Amino acid sequence: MSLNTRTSLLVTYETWQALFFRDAIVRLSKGRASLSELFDPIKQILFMSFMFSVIRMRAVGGIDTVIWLMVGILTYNTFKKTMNSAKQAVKSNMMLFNYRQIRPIDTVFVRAAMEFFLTIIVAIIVFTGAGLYGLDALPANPLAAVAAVFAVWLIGLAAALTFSVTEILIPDSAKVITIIMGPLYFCSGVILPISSVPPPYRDWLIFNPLLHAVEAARLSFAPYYHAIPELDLLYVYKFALTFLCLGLALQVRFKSQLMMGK
Amino acid sequence: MIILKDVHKRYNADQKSEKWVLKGVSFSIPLGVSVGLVGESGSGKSTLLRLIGGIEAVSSGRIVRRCRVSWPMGFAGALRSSLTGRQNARFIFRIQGHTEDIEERLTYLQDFSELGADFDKPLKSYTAEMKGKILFSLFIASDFDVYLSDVGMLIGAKRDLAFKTKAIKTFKTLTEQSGVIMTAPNERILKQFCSAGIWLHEGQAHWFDNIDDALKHHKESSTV
Repeated sequence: MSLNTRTSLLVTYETWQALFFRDAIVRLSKGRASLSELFDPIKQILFMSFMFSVIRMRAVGGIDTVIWLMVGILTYNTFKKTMNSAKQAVKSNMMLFNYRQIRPIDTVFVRAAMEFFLTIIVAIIVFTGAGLYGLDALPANPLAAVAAVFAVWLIGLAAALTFSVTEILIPDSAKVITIIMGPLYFCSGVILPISSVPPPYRDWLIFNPLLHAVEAARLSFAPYYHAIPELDLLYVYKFALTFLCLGLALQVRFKSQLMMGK
Repeated sequence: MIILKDVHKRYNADQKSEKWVLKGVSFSIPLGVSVGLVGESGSGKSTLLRLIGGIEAVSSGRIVRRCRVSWPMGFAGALRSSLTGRQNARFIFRIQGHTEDIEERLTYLQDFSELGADFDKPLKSYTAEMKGKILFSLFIASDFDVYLSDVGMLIGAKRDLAFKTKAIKTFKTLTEQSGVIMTAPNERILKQFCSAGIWLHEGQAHWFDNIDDALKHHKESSTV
């Protein structure tokens, strides 16, 4: 008979660790399927680079098109993949809530962390490849690059926390989110230079925090890059933290519904 | 020590018409005491176990656990079919905090469940019986002060009589050192494991120091 119960912090830490290892094994044991998923952004970068540099132009905003695309796509993908994968975490781990130690929010956090990890691996592969190809693939200001990518990851996490709740309470909301994701991609300046958008609409697009983050990431690679003049990374962080608070609040409020799956 | 203070529970709390499963249940279970839950079907035995196990939230009231409480044995288990028995077991031990002696526990588990080489095969290749064995062995191989056991303690492993006998014997020695809170399909098992009893009737819980008294009240109320 023992009375040594663990502290809440220790339980959370050990649960996250266990979930992380489990997720990692599941992801890697999918074999070729998981690899192709991992290399999805690489395919995207290669295709778009070809389209842009061979057919259209060699430089955007003063930096090489390939670098411009590469940084943009990787930054945006950090958001997209984190959100898509982490918002499914609650649904796909429903059975795990039979163990008291695991709460819905844990599974979302762990999935998001896993995506961050995989993003770093993909980024290392992409930049090594680009460097071998002779491109200037090292960020001039690495800390700024980290700050930008971390900001989009936070937005992805916040979106996952929020939408994992809405998708369980209102199942059809998943479709709406999928529909929004399309235009959002084009509004974030990933493959479409935002400077080419005419004035009244351009001012509206400036409200998109992802656009700021993508531009900030590019600026961190080349200080001479012509980023949007309104660029403000603090705005991105303010948005991310507000969104994060919303997501956390929803998770707390609807915890029992999440655990029951309705 | 497990303390329940004025616990109320009903499902679908937003629908006011739903009936209360538990209406103000209060009791405390000291460490080392084995308790059997008796009551008609639908009287809230499983609900009470799930509440104590922390899988469901109370509608109002409080539950305090000052010890290590197990998950309720009897549900199908959260094992992932694409992972091997060992990988699944490692995950369960990790969330229970058994990180330091995890290898010894895995060895014990492999030995006890009699799975042998199948322990390293994906769970989707397991028969229902093998799944039942690994679930029960996981339960046994983790350390708890209080074990929660719902009706089907040996799901799937019913046909293997030798294993069943061994499992019940081991579980008996375990619960003698610690405590158990259980429901059971028949009186014999309850009497075998439990000293005290809780009789659930019309949303109220009545505590009896002797399981026989609880069973007697339950029988009297259901015959009338």
